[in-house]
Amino acid sequence: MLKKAVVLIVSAVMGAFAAYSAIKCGIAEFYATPTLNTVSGASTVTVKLDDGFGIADLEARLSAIEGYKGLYPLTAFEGTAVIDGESSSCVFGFESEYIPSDTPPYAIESGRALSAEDRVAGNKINVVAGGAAWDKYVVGDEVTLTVKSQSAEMDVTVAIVGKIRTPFVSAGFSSNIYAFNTCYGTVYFPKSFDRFGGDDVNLVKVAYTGNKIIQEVAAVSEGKQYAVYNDFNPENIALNDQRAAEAGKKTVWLAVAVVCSLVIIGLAFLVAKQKGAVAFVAKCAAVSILFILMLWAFRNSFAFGQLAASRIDMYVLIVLGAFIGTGLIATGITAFTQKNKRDKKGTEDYKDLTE
Amino acid sequence: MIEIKNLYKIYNQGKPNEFTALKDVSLSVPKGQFLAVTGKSGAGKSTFMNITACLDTPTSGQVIIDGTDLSSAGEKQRAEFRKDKLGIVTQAPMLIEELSAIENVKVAFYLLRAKREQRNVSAANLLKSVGLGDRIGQKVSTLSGGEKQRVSIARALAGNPCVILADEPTGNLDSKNAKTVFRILKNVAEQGITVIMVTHDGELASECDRVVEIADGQIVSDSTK
Repeated sequence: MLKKAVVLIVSAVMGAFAAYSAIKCGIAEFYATPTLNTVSGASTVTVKLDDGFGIADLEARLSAIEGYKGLYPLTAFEGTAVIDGESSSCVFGFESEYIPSDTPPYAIESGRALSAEDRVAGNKINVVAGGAAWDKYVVGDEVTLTVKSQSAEMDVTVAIVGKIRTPFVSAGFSSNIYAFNTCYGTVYFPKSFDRFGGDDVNLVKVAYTGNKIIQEVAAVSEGKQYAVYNDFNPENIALNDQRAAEAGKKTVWLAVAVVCSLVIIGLAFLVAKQKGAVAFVAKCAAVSILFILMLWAFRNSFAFGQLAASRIDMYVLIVLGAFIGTGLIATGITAFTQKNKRDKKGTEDYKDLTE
Repeated sequence: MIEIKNLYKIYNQGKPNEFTALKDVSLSVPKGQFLAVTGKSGAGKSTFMNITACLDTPTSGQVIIDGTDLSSAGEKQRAEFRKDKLGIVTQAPMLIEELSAIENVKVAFYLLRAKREQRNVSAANLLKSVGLGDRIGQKVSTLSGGEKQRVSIARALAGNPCVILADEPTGNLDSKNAKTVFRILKNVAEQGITVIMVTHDGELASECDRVVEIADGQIVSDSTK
């Protein structure tokens, strides 16, 4: 019994350590890449801050590149999003005047994909929407979004022309598709095709505040399109704080789930040989309650609908890892107990029976 | 340990040649007791042993061994129980003649799904316990009758059983080998394993903890030391 208890404790410690490591790695990866305001599938470049470097300076530098057409001002709103009057603490990414120049490869569930005709008209814009929060809307609906940032607020009328299947794989998208991952799901905004005369070659997008460039393109290669992260935008810092809170909650839920699964194993193991109706009922009740709690905790720990597309894979991996880890521990305990049982068969040295 | 209640075994029930082999046999055998079952040929001893060894089922009555009621158990359950809880020694050792002594014992461990290393060590230990430490690699066909019976006992002990059922284990042996085998079974009982031995040998029976005599399918005497 002592041996079994030691195995259980060691397994629990190992399981907890593995879960902690997985969660820590996941969170580290979570913060390492700012994703909410990025253009899905687009190439990115390393940038550095240079407050004294203006748009005109950058324009002059980039104009030497063959095929360069001009700077494209990237406007990003990040803050509170309001859908149908319901305010949410999540962050909503919004960027105007984009339409794809080619046929999008994403999986359209209903309606249609975006096309060159989907141009911004004032504050009205055609979108393809995906995500749990958009389930209540159908193709043809128009939704008013109040998009707020620290310094700006605007109402946008979104006409849903298509719905995509979710969850989805972001890698399947073209680099010309602009996807914004939000707490409400994913919204694809059209790009303004005619803004650059229909020619996207060597388009460079740079984030700016007023007329001051806050990020400089450090290296530009010909024949490519670039998007720039708003890494140092104060709004993103606030965003990260919010992510930290959300990630913290998820971490707790994941930890609860892992602990529950370990307790289930331990409980099943410890009472496996208990006989009697009371022990049986107690065991069934305890395992059932813990199992439900575990499933609920796992559900809350990755909450697909609230995750950015690129984060889903990571959480699936973490949860999968937790399941596999738990399974391995259970297998180990089972193998140990079975081995222990078999070892008892005939291994005791009988004393000389002929005496 | 073993509870036998109102056991009946009727062959060819309802037919002209109906024969009642056991009639209302009830018996309680505590753990570690060495019980001798005696009686004339055709008295019902073998039927009693076959039912106790889960090789046959009773017409009515209960057989409870180590808390498990085997009366209504299916073939598979009885086979599992036999493998895990019972050790059976028959008059003819029923060994695999082409294999060595240790290989014969290892067959039992193989059926118990023991690991290879464990099979080797445990089988050797058991053979040493029955005084065949120097014969473990010897082919069974070259062993004497007494040695074969001791291999048979070692094989029966492989599953660490709670009961050893021995049907005339000394029937084919000379008096010297019979005493050796009997001594081994007695020592097994002293280890806490219940031993039920069918025997015609009155002298050996008298040395057991308890003697039950069966005649015409009924217990006619039951004496404890």
